[in-house]
Amino acid sequence: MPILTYTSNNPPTFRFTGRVIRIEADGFGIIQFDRPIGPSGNTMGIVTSSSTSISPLTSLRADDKIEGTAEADERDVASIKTFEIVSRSA
Amino acid sequence: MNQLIIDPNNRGNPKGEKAFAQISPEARQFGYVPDLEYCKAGDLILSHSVARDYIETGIINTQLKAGLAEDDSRWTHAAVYLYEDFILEADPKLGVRSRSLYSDVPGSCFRVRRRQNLKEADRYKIALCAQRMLGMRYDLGAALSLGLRARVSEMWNRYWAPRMKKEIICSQVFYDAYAEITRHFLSSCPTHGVMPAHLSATSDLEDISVPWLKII
Repeated sequence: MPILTYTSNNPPTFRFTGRVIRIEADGFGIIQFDRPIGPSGNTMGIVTSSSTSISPLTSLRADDKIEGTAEADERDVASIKTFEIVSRSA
Repeated sequence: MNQLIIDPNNRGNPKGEKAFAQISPEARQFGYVPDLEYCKAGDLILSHSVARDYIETGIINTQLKAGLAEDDSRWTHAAVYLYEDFILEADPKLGVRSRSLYSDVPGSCFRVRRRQNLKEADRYKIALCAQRMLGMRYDLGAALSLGLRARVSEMWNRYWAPRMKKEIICSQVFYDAYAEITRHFLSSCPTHGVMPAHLSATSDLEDISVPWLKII
């Protein structure tokens, strides 16, 4: 039986901490990172219902502090893959 | 920036002729329509009325007060091109809908704007993503506007505020759908509160030249 080799073209993943600056009803949100991440120093990331397993209209609110992992490459914006809420907005 | 405006009162030489089995009576009487074969799914369609009303004047003034240039602030409506003559937009009374752009001929001027060097699949994704976002956001936004209307009975709130909200939702959705699919933010646009004039001003989108067709 031949040995199958799997390769992935996904961008590398980085840990981040940041703040939710906007979250929409459909689950699209913009996160401002505390520190730049990735090869092009992304300062912003987007969270979408298609890129993470969260369901829209749950959990996140503007100004929440979160941490997690995000894919970052040469593009302007990182893509949030996982996160947890560190502290809630007031 | 030189804007390529599709203006019913300045049509230039029509590129050709086309027969339409069905088209709005106003467009048929006018005798010309833009040739939308030059458009691609996911293109941004900006428009404004030829004869501006007080609602559009309010939108223009809001955009001017936000510091946007007069040439950009005249654009008061944003929609997403889908296919053939169909565009996607939010309507304050009818909610999210797709309709024929030809129903605005000859009452509106248009601009078609596009990011070059996108894959064809990504253009369709932007259109579909915008459709999904608009559906979820506008239903919520319309509900909020209705609540506001119920509490405050001034004309500004009843008629103008929902229209401005609609224009912001449509423009914001285009910006967000573009960001979700390409992972780039459109330059010269804020991350929140994008208006039609911002989408007019961004240099990340290029105007597409669309000639007119004579209806036969």
